[in-house]
Amino acid sequence: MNIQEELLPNGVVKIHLSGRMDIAGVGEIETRFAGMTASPRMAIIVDMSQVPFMSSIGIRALLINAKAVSKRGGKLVLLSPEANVEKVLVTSGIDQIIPICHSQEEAVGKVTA
Amino acid sequence: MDRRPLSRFISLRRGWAAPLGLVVLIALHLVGAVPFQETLRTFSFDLYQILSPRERVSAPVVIVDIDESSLQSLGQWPWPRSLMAQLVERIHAMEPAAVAFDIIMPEADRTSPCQSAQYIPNIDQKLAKAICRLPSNDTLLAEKLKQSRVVLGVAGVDDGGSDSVNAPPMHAVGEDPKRLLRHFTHALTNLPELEQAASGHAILSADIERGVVRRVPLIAAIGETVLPSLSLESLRIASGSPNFLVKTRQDRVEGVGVEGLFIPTQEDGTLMVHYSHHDPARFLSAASVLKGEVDSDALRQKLVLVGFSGLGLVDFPSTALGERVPGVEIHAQVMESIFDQDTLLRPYWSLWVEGTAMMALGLAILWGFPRMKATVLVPIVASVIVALALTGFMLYRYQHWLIDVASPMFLFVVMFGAMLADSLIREELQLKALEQDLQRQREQAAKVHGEMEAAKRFQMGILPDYRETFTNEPRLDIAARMEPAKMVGGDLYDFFMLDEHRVFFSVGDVCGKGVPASLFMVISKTLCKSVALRDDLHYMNLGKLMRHANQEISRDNPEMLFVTAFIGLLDLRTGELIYCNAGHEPPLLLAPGCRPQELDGAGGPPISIMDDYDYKTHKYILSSEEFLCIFTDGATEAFNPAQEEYGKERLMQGLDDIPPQATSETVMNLAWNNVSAFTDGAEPSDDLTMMVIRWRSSRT
Repeated sequence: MNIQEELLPNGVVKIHLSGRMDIAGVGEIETRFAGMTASPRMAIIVDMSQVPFMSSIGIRALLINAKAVSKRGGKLVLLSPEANVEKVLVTSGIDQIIPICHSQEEAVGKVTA
Repeated sequence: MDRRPLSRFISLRRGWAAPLGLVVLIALHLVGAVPFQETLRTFSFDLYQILSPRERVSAPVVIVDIDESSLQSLGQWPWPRSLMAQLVERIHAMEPAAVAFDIIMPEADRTSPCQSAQYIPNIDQKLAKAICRLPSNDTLLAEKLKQSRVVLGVAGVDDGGSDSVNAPPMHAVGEDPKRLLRHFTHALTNLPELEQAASGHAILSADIERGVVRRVPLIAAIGETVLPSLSLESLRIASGSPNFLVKTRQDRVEGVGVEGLFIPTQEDGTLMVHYSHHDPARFLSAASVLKGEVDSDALRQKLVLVGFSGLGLVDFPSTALGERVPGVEIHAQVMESIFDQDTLLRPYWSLWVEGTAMMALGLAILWGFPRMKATVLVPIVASVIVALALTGFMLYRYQHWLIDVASPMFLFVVMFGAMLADSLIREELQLKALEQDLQRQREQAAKVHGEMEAAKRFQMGILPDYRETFTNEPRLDIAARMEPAKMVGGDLYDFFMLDEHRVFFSVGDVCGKGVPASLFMVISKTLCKSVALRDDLHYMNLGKLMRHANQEISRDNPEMLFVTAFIGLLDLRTGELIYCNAGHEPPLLLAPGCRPQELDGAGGPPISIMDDYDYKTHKYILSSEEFLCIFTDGATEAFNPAQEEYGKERLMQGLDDIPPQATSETVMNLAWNNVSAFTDGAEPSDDLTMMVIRWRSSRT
């Protein structure tokens, strides 16, 4: 898996994830992902468009980071997941905890609100 | 114990030991104190000569040989000096350039007329006096010697004999050479009468090393006198030179010579003999010369050596070629090599060159060995050895230099061998340590494996067995199975009678797999059951139960694990199913002749994600033909070796047409086998759990 950080205007951080979010993939990005979400009051958009597969361990990674951001007074949303990944997220009820957005405007609006 | 300082000390010592040893060895080489080095060197020089002996180009020397046939025809040795006088006369008549005697005549001839007369009993005194007036045989020989250009030789000895010898004049260039030369205190000389008659005086001695003559002195000192060798003196006489030359420089003899000829020598005035093979053509029998049977030109302008080869008269020393020849032939060979300017020289700087080569090769191997692979190193070592051997041989062959390449080569090979042995020993020790390590790891792994087996038994043991639990309950047909991806897993299932008519069941999946998931699974299952038994489920509010379970499980969850769960409560009187889904894959409803359908009902997030969540309770009435199939993502997310996902579609297709007589167990096995056939032996990516439940109406 790969993970990249992009700074958008208004201090919004966009994190691009790419690759399968299974045990091996998550193992590759876990530490850097946590590092990117470690500052207080962050506005984070996680771009999921390049993630073709989501396992329970991937959900856990998203949840850990979302909770960490939330605890520090920040916000984290997911952007444009693939259909099957979104289905997994919805089935497992993750969408009720981490908002899923389908456009960058919507995502920026949510994290900066 | 911290072993680092000790190992650092050892490695420091190891690092310095080899170069230090090398320096000591080279110092010993320079002072000539390396044990057996001389033997090795001698052997290599002999080998050069054996491989490429000197060629006999011109034949300036003829040996008039007192051989076996001469002794047979002219009588046993010693011959009367009158006969020797005849021999000298004959030789002289054939106009040689010089004649050299490899024979010493220290005592008077007892066959002279006067001496012989004394042995005649009752001889008339007058006659005896008359006989004694006749010239002695020695006188006869002395006269003949005077007429010819003859060199007589003396032997250097260290006790007895004369301490004054006749010697030709020496022209010394540089310092006085005496203290540099092979030195004898006394000499075994010829009769003074003969000495005085001779034109030249020489020393015959040569050093024999274990039966082999490898070097002969071209000049040597007897007492205070410096004498040329037989060969040098013969050349002086032949050239008509009034003296012989000795050139010294910086505490060493550079060479010797006569008029028009300079011969470089070793620093002590000796010459390394360059041998050709023994050649009978060098010899003329003394008897043939005396009888006038040889060609009159045979000795013209030749250097003539008179000596013995008759067996019993002399020892036969060996040459560097390994041939045993009479001593006189060695003198002849020395003269030949000088005449053909084909002498050998071990230059005075050889030791330094050899020492430098040893140092360079030694350091090269010390540096290169640890850095190069054997496949590179071995050809390099072989090439260096061949190059050294060739260099040594070429210098001998074309420069006539004797450079010792055997010592550097030997050092190189020994060092290579030593380092090879050292690395082999180290590797062996390392291998042993690795083996021990591996053994320890194996034991540890076996121990862990044993513990994991126990954990697996425990985990499987807390899952209820459907074949035993409901044997007396005809209203329920249930089957369930869990297979962890690793030794232990994070999936769980449970079922038990909550009361007389209601059965509680659950299927859960902890995120991840392995030990952390399994621990969480045990906690979740236990808490879920205890909440189910504790809560008042009279109102059939499973959402509330799920909420309580969520609260309990979330409480201590430092690793932020979570579990998806489907829980249900089936009333066996009516087939009424109430259920609640916490982030779990919706179960399938199956019936013979019908397509599989998902069991509707919005769920909530997995347990332990949100501390407080109101889960919804759903209701469905099962018919007695319907099977409820609950599974974990180990089924839908199973992968085959081509990394294709099984998926829910395939799972549903596989259960499309279940037979009318199917039981929960056959349905579960069908679904399970479909997954196994798809994965085709690929390593499972996740734990796999299936549970199939059918309500059987008591009316049917």
